[in-house]
Amino acid sequence: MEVSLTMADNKDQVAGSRRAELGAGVWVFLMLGVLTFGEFIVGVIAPPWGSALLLVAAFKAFFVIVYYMHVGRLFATDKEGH
Amino acid sequence: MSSHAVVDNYAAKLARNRLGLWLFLISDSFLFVGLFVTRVVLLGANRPELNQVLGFVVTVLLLFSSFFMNRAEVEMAHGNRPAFLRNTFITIALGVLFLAGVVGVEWQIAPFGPADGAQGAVFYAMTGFHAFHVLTGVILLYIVWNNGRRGLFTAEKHWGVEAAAVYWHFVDVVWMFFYVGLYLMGSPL
Repeated sequence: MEVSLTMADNKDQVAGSRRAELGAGVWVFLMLGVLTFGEFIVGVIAPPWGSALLLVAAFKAFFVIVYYMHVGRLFATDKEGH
Repeated sequence: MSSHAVVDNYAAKLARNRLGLWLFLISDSFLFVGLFVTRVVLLGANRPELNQVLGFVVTVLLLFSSFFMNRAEVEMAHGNRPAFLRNTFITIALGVLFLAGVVGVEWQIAPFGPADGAQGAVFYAMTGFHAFHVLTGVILLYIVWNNGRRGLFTAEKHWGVEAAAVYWHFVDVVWMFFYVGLYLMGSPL
């Protein structure tokens, strides 16, 4: 009984981790989408502000590098490998 | 060799692989930084005369492809092979559409050629180098997809998937800056 409960807990944990990772991917994607649309609008209606959009691009790049490219894994211990 | 030693060995190899990939990406990024600096020096407060809507559309395509690539990697990390294959396939399709949009459409409708002054040189060099990276990324993803189809990856061991995903996102990051530099920054020439 105890063993099956532990296995069920483990299964729930794995499913929860998958959901959390997919959810984080969705949030990052939505944020990138909104920022990209904002960039487009600013670039079309206010070209002189275009240079400032490089800051927005850097902000977007930061999120991709951290959440999609997982730069943190580079400094992870061997326990965090797959 | 004990199973513990095998796991330790794989973890050490994985750490070295990751470091090697990131060193490659950093060295590759110098090429793109050089191209971007060239754009700033040659065009300054102007930009090539390009279709901004098309630029936005191809950018969104690449953004979607990154989203699906992330899903593919997460699914493989949890051993869900069908979802991994599906998401990788969508990523490949979006990458091909991006290439079609830039090389097949934008290059054809641009009102200047590669030899028509600074804007031509800058535009074709920047998009050409980037498109070449997208093409190699698509080929890499196809190899990974095919290996996944043959069952060569597991939830525990899928470095090939991770490497392809990191490379693909890198190509997306480069485009984030190129999009601003080519389509949004400054007034059209």
